[in-house]
Amino acid sequence: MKTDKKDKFKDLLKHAADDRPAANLTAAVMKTIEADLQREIVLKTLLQKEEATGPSFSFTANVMAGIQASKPQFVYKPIIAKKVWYGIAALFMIFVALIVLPGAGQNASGDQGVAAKLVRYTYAIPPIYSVVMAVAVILMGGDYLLNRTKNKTADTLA
Amino acid sequence: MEQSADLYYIDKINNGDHAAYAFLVDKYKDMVYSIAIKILRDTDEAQDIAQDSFIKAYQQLSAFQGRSKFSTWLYTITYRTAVTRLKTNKIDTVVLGDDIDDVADHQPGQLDQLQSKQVKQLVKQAIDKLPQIDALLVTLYYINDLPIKEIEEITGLTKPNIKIKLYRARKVLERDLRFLMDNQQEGK
Repeated sequence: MKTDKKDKFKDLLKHAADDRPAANLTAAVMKTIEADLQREIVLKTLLQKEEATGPSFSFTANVMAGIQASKPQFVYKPIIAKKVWYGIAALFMIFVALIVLPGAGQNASGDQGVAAKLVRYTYAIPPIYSVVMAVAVILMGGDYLLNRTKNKTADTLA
Repeated sequence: MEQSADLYYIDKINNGDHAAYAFLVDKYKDMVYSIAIKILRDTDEAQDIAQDSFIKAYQQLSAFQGRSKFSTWLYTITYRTAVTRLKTNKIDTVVLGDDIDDVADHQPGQLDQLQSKQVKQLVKQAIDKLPQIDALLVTLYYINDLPIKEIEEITGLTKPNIKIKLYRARKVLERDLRFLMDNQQEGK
């Protein structure tokens, strides 16, 4: 019963005249779109006349100065660390003490100790090795001192 | 061509020729400043942000892989730096819509009397009345002819969002600059 009523209502509605747009609707829509596009082009032309504002004349120079300031400073590092130098110095002093101090080469029983043996072996090394070692030490020492001086100068400039 | 020139200078910088960066600064300083001023609306702050952006770009230059254009990458840095500053400053972004009325009230006949400089100022005023992001989008799209895709990269906004903002901004500008546009159309 209810379904019948619904169907009849549907049929009735179908008899109503179709909704048809005006014949020139497409043309009108296209005209509006074209007009809108035209307005957009005109606006674009107008906007490109905007008064351009730029940064100050010194802008590039300021940026380049900022870059210089932000560049990480190169830190000079000595080839041989401080601790190693202390170690070498300590060994050297012990070595000198063993040679210079009287009786250092003998222990209480009169036997030759490790130190005396060391001294003897050292004397047995050909002199050329000693000279090379001395030169190497001087060069490394020079390198260390130069780097220290450079670091101090860099710190002062920074 | 333009991009390859940029890459040439970037390569020089990465190889230790830091002075080559001046070329890129000179080339892009106006646009970088323009982005900053559209968002911050203060000349000193814009200058500051533009400078910071160039320094940031320089520091991260070794990370630039050339997947996008250098200009897009640089503008993205500028945009983000400016927006961060804007948030820090907590600048009120309320747009005043009334001040432009005196511009819109001009009659076409009066336009002849307007000097070219005045026209430029009126256009600038109209753009400045827009919300910051909208003003920036108008600058990038209409004035600098950047494609939507690049604007997406720079601002992080979606394509539909950019289009909607641009459309709304255009309608506002059309209303505010109506008398100038009418005159321009008549002149054609």
